[in-house]
Amino acid sequence: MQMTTAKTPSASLRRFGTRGDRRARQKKDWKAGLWALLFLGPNLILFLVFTAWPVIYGFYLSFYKYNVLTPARYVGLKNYRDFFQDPTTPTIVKNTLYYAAGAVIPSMIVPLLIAVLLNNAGSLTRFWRAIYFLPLVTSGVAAAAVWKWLYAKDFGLVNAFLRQLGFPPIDWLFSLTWAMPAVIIMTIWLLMPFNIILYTAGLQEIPRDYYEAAQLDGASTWNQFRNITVPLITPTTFFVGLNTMLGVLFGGFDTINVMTQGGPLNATNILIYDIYQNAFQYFRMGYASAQAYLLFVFVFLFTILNWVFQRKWVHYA
Amino acid sequence: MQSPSASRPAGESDLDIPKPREGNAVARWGVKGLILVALLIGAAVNLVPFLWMLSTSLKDNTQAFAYPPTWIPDPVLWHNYVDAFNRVNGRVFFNTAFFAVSIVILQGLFTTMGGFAFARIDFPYRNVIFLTYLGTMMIPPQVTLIPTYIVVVKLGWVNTYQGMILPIVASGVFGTFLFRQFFMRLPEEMYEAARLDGANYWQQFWTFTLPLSRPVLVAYSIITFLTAWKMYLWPLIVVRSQELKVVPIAIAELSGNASQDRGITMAAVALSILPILILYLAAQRWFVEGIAMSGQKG
Repeated sequence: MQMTTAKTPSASLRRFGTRGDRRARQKKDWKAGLWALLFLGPNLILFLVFTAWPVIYGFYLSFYKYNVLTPARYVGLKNYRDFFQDPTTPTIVKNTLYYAAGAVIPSMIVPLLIAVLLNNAGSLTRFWRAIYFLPLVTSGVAAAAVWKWLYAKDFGLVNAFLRQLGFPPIDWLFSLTWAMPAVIIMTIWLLMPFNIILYTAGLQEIPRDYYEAAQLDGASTWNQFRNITVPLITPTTFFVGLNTMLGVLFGGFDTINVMTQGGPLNATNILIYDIYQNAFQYFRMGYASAQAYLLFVFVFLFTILNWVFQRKWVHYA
Repeated sequence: MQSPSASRPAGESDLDIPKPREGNAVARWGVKGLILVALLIGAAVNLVPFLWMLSTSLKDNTQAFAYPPTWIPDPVLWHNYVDAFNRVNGRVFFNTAFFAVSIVILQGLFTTMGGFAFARIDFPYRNVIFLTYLGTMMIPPQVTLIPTYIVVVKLGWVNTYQGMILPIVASGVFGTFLFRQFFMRLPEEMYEAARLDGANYWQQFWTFTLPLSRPVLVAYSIITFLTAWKMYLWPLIVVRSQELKVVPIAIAELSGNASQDRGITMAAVALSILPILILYLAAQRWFVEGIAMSGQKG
């Protein structure tokens, strides 16, 4: 979104005012400041206490050993060193990447296809949308509780379906191989409505003339999709990708805590879950803060990389 | 934003375009058939978890643990819902509603007021403060989770409503940004006329700025409510006692307890979904607009 600065002409002219003007301006500034304090005050206090200060304080903490009960002790870079030397770190990092990529890439593709299908569903579009948006009503926890039950080895529906197709049943959530795919599938399902909605909004931005022109030229539905929709929807695709990644890196906690608790044998232990355990079960606040900051750096670098890289594939109209 | 439901199909045209080739009608029907099949499969994937939840929620344990699984409960145990409500506890439902409604009201008020200050009041250091706000929007919540908890500990707010609610209200930076953008697009002439009439900032805010932003405010509030109702991690960290628990915590506990009756657990999940489902059926449009609005973040 474009950032507009609301400088009224008078505001910029006042800069060059005379001394008398300056006194009048100071009085006006002072009054405006009071009004601003009234309007922004509550917001600003909460922002400073619960957002701005924690950002700084978290960084500070990452250099300390702290368990809330006893005073913090400075340990320098030890927390960061410990993270890189911990034998479970490679597993957790690998899992986090697996989870993020596994959830994000399909979330950039499947919802687009569905949004296009829904747009072409004719008079029943509203009906289909109501069904497809239904997962919106479930929390991550509620969805995970249901899916955990769907994935149950003997009594679950997923395996019942597989058996009908002639496949052997899988012990989804207790399998080193299948636990992560199971969690990923559920995550994609949960986030689907959000991404369909974002894509539907994005599709409306594509001028209809393009399609009409293509139809005159006899372009097939597939060609229209391939050559008009896909390139012109890329700004939305870009946003959906970034948003989903940020969403799963944090929201993955709910799903994993309910479905697998990081198991079996750390097979679904992702960074946010490990941060939670370190901070709130083992009270290693400093170490967990260091982990959180490393995750932040990773996300930040990834975002920058994406912004740089987007020029290659995102088309802004 | 235009409501998506009002949009016209993107791939189709109602113009009288001469059909380029014969046999195209057949192809068109083929495409329509394929679309229908694809939509049906997708709908099944979306609906089956819900139907399975409802089916299980009416079963006793013998049926829930039947092999192979069956769809139709027999006998139908409506009583599971009473048991589920008792086990989750009415207090927990109240807490969740109180938590969510407080966040909606406080965040709605603070973000609109803050947005107004940034958009309409020319005060010293405005841009510096606003840029600080914008900067924190890029910081993922896991970074502030631990230090925010420690701030709550230091304030002595662990296991209190204010400890649960206020840090979440504070996370409405996006809302402040959203309303600022919206207020800046309102016509400047309106504000000039109001100033000439001697209206102060509060009157400008309350008499026309807020009423004019009702659609945005409704959509934003619905999404805030939805997010708060589903929230798990933060309450899990701050809440210690039974009295302050919220629904997702109770569901997670029920689900984690292997000895628990499956039917009752699924009934509890269904109950937890019910308020949002009613809201969704009543205000589907606002859900959609609210989410589409968040797409403007980029």
